[in-house]
Amino acid sequence: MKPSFIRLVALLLFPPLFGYTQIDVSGKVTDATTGEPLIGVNVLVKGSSTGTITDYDGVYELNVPSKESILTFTYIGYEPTEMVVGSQKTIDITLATQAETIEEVVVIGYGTQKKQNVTGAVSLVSAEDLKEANATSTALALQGRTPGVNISSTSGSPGSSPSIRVRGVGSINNSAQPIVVIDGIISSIGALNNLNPQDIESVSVLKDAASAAIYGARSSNGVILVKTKTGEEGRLSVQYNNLFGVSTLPRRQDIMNADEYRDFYEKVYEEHNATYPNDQRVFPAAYTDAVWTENGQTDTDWQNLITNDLALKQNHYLSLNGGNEKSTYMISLNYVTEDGILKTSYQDLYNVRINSEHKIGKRIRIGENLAFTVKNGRREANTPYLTAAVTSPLLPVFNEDAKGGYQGPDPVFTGINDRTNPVAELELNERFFNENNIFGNLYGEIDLLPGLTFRTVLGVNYFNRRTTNWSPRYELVQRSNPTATLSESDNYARRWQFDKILRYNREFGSHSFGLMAGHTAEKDIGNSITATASDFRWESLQTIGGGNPELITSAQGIGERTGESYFGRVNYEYANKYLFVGTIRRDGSSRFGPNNRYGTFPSFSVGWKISEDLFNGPRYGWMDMLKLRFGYGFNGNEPDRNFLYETFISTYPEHVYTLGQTDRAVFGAAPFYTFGSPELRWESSEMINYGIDFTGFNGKVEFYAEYYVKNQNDLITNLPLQLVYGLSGDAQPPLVNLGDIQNSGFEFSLSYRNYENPVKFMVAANLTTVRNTVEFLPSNRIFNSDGTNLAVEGHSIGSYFGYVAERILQESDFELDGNGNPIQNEDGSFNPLVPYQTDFMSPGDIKFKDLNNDGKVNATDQTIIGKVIPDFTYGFTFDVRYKSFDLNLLLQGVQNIDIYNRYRSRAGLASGNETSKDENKLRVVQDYWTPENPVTNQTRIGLGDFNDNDRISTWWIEDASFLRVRNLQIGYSLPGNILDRIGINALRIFIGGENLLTFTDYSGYDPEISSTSAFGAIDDGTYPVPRFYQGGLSVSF
Amino acid sequence: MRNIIITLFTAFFLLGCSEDFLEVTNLNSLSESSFYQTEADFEDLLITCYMPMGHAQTSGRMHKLMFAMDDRVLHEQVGISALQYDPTNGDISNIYAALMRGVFRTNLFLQKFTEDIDVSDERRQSMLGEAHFLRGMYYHFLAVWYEVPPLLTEPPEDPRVGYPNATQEEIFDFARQEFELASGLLPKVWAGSELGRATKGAALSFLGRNYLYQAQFTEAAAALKEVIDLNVYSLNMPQGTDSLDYIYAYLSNFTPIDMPNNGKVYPSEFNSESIYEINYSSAHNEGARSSEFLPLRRSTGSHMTWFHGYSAITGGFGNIAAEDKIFPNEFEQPSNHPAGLELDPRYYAFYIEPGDPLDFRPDNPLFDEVFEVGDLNSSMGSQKGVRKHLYPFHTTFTDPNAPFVDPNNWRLMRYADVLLMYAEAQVRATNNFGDASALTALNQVRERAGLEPLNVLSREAIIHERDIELAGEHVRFWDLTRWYKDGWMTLEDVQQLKPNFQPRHVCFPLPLGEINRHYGVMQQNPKWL
Repeated sequence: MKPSFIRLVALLLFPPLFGYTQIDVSGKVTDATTGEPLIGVNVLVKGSSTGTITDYDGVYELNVPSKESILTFTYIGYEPTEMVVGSQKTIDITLATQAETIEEVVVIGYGTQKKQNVTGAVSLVSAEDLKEANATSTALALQGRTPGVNISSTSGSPGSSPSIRVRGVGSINNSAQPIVVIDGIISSIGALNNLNPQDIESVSVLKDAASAAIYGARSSNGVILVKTKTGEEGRLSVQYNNLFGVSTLPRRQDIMNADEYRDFYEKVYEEHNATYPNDQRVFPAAYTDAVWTENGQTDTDWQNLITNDLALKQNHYLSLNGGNEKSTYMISLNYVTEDGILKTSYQDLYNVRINSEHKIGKRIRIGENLAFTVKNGRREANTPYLTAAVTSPLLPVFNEDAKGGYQGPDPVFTGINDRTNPVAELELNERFFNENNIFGNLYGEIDLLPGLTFRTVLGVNYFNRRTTNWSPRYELVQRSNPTATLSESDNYARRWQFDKILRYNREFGSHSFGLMAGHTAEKDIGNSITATASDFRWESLQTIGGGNPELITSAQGIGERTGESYFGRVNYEYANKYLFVGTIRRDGSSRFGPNNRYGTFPSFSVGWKISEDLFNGPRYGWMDMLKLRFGYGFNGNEPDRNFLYETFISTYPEHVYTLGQTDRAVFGAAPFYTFGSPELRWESSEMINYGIDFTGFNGKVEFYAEYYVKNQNDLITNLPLQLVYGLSGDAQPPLVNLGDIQNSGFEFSLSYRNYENPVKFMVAANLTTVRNTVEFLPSNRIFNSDGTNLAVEGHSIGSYFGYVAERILQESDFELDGNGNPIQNEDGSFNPLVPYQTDFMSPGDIKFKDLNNDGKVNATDQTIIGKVIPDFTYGFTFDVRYKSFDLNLLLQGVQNIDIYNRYRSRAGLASGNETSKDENKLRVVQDYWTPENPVTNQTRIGLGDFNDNDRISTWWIEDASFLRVRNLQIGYSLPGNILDRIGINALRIFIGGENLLTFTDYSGYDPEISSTSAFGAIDDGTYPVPRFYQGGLSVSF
Repeated sequence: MRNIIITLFTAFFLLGCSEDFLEVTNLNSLSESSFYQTEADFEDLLITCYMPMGHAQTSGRMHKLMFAMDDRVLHEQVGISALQYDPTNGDISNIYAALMRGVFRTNLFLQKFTEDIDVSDERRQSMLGEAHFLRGMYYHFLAVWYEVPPLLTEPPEDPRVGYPNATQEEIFDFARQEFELASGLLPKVWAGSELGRATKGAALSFLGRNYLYQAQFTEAAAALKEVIDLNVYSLNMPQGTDSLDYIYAYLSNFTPIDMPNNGKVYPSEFNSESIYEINYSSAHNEGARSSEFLPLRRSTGSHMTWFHGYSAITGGFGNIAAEDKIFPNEFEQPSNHPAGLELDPRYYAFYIEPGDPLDFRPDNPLFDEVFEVGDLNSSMGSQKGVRKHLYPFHTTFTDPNAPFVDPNNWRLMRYADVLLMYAEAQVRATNNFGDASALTALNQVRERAGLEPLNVLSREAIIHERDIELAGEHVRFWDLTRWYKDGWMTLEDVQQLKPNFQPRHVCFPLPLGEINRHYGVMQQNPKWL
């Protein structure tokens, strides 16, 4: 008794001295089923901030204060386990994978749901998948991984925004892109572009009405929900990844060199002068007079010169993650610098993210997710690949004597070819951009009652984009820029969103209820200012004020949108077998007139875990879960322009006329800038979704299948106003709700994983089909601005519209004389025996089909000649690990899609174009048609395309199906014993590549090109997606 | 306590936004509800009624089409030159759109400009006159160029209905009424700062032309006689006897600046010969659209340079050249020209040949620069340019301070044209080729060129004089179609000049896109089916 009393006093007086008898504890943490060591398990002394994590061998060492201390072991995907230290020095722990009841959770709109109990169509991508992708763009990291979601690059330019289509295309005039919700804040694809994939914890794509309808009026194109990583309780963990790589042009076009060019045009002139005796043309001397430079005759390979052989890319990523039971944090820094394969194009990106959460008492949590992004770069306005193809190879690149230092098209060098020097255009015209973006939220959450939680979120998005286009004065002979010009534009946008959400979850026996109700208000403000100046006296003074004050022009645009919504959701589950979810959202938007400002979007879905009822006997031990799902609901799509409901007057600069001898400018105002549509309302879609989910063989096999029918009604379409309405060039015709589109399709996803053997592997495949039909469009045909693609009843949206090319016309298609030669009239024309096409159609031209058999081929013989929505898309992932090695392969394919290769219709057409600029061409034209070479797929040669061979026809529409090795990566993780010595936790090095191999019949640069509008893909020499070789390391401390 | 907290949170939750949260204001544009109130509003609206003919897009496309169709001008758009166009042609559609825009705006003006608007009586009259003139002018061109478009006399209101074709007679007749009405309302002249607005003389001149296109020669002659009798207009006559006096007297009708010669000045825009001009300006710079067009900045005021510059100056497209095989022989070779010229001075104003100075003015830096073969796009096959429309405004090819838009006004109606139209109408109305007033009118035009007066007229003489005097002024092709229709020329006559000419080419087709938008109510002109 006495000693213990003394000891007690001592303890009270000198707690440090006597209180903590430090005990060293160590042990190994392994997986309960496989026995594999678990790396990075959090080991924490309960109630303190003392802790560590397990190393590569699953081993930890820790000082604990006393035998009474309790160790907690936590690891994602495993049951947390506690252990009293007692007298043990070695505590080995096996962690069991989490039981079904608290298994994987899916982020859904305004909440989460157990993955097993999801009733809607939701595609999931985890942080693990994204890590393997190793892409620097989040959107591209999702490519090929998510059935029902078709992601394609629109350009290979660094930082360009991809096109994302969830379940087909359901809109003509509006955006067909899904909305992106990052940590609850509604945004667009652009925000996804700024997000580093390594900061992402999970991505859910809400594809069907039932899951997306909680986002109401903006949900009909699907919703991409992103949750960024949060801090984890425990010791500070530091992660550093880097990546170095080079991009190259994946494919070159075969273009004629100087000799071939000269030979070709020699023949062209001969042929022309022989055919049209009244129109003799002189073969330009420049083509035969060799232009000698120091190195010999000029033979410029423009394609090569505008391309960087090896464009470098670096990515550095550093993250800090940690916290205690009161506060957790995640801080990351990211720097990406990337050169484009097109000369001069590049982008630098800096990204800082701070996510943290703090507990105040037991009931209140507050936190924030904030990202700050800066992007700088240079990007060309137009992709010069077509210019590079048609520019004369006889044009030298440089001319030291010319201002600017480059040689321009000059009859002395290039004859009639006056195409510009694409290298000079790239180098001299400087187009820079700078983008700053603050995106994130502050939130607070309070538990009011058991199960009742109130959450409020304030989201902010501040965006500023500045572009500077500077063209100095330069001399390029026929393409000179006699005065320097500067154009500066500043776009500023800010947005706030304020959510208030009440959640209530309760279980009564076998019944489980969830209720969620919320209100949100939001406001977007945009303001852009553009100013241009020219005629710079001092070119070093590159500011607007440096230009001639009389020539400065400026413009401003102001936009504003406000919105307010109420939304709610009911979940009910009975016995964890019968599942029901109902949602409703009522949206209000300032974009509509007072009569149609509000819309309501309901949905419901049900699920039945049939395995629990019918297949739960011992015979079905292999079956973990089989679930049937059904969902139905309504979604909306909002027009992307403001103030559509009111009629506005058009003013300066469209309307100015001069009076008087001294040119007095008089400004005018006229109808209509916009033709108001007071009755305009949301596009509305109605979707039915059937789904089946299966997991079996202890989670080794997973299979999902979906079938959906989505009817998009009340499409917002331009009412094609007759010209008698006098709309001016910049005016916008009225929008009306007219037209229906149906998308339907199947989605399958199957995966098999086996981690039990030394060779651990996972294979996954997915397949998506889309059938898109314009069901109802009374105004008949809606064309894109190029007039090449349209929406018309009975066909898929964006179908190509043009002529059917049959074959090359032969001499026997024309009236022949006694000697069997075609009879030629005085003006050089021939007399066709086939339907009339043009006055000067001749042997060797393309024969187009006279569809209506009226004896002539004219506009009425145009028809649907191709489609832009693929029949199906698919992806295949293969992931294997053996000892320290890992390999990851991702294939992506698109089947049955067409591209209008307009690049080839110009650079690959043997007969000239109308203005006959003696453009250089692809080598294939050398196989041009002649009476002696009648079997060819090239036309005749000529100095004018009098038969309009380059018109849009099946001749230029190509099948752009492809299968692409999207990503391949081989990694090696350093063994634990080495790591221990250098004191780090894990280190992996990898090499790999993106876009390494493409199987396609498409002849252009890249079959993946796509358009940001619903309307088709025209290849004018698109910036191709580069082939990318990379290597790097990731290390964690 | 707990209940209070819950109540507070529920109340906070239920708190929505105020009712006007969804009301936002468009700060970019005027809204219709606040417009059409004051005199100033209507002045603004009226000026936009003038615009459609002068707007960059329209002018450019008009010049492109009209030059290409002209048999005296060659154009690099060889397809259009060969009359190879169809109802899908974008330029044809664009010009139709511009004319309809003019119709719509004048209709709107005349509908909204009620007695309630506070404006002086005098100005009310002239404003109405301007609107009626413009509506007449747009319909006149619609009748000539497109023959059978719909005839709308009020702004349309329901986009879901189509409008039927009118007959060409109905449209000509409506234009006639408009010109008659306008001629009674418009002033004879405007103050210097208002030049460019419609005048009584413009209305009467178009009235005469309107009749002429319908082959109503008596009425045409009467209207054109009224123009002559206004005593407002006179030809720009030579003020001396050297060759430049003769050239400038004619050429200054097409230059943007007055032409000085030995202390004498030949006025250009809005000179005594000018009846109606499309007033272009270099003052309003639309900015370059792409690097391709950088050296030739487009402007709202003028599209001219874009479409018919020298290739060397502009590097643009749509270049023109002068026909140099047949047309040069049409110019008379006066035996005793007062200035000793070998050819009709209008030859030197129309043609610029390799070796010619770019500018006739010795003090101009371009005097020493000569026109070179390479200055023309050789694809057109002619070595000669059209000086009449290319009077150099740049002082050098690469002068960075030169305006890159052409401020040169387009003379839509000249007094010389009125005199020649009068001569033709009078002769054909009276069937008397010796009609004294017709002879006087036509000989005035010859006199200005320093040519011998004619004693008797002939079909050939009238055709010849119009051919030479109005070459490249977009009148020629429609003269040919007019003469073909009224019997002065046969199909073969026209085909000699325009080899591909077919009966359908007397007008443009109605644009296919527009027909598609009229729900089957408007039909294609049968000539183009």
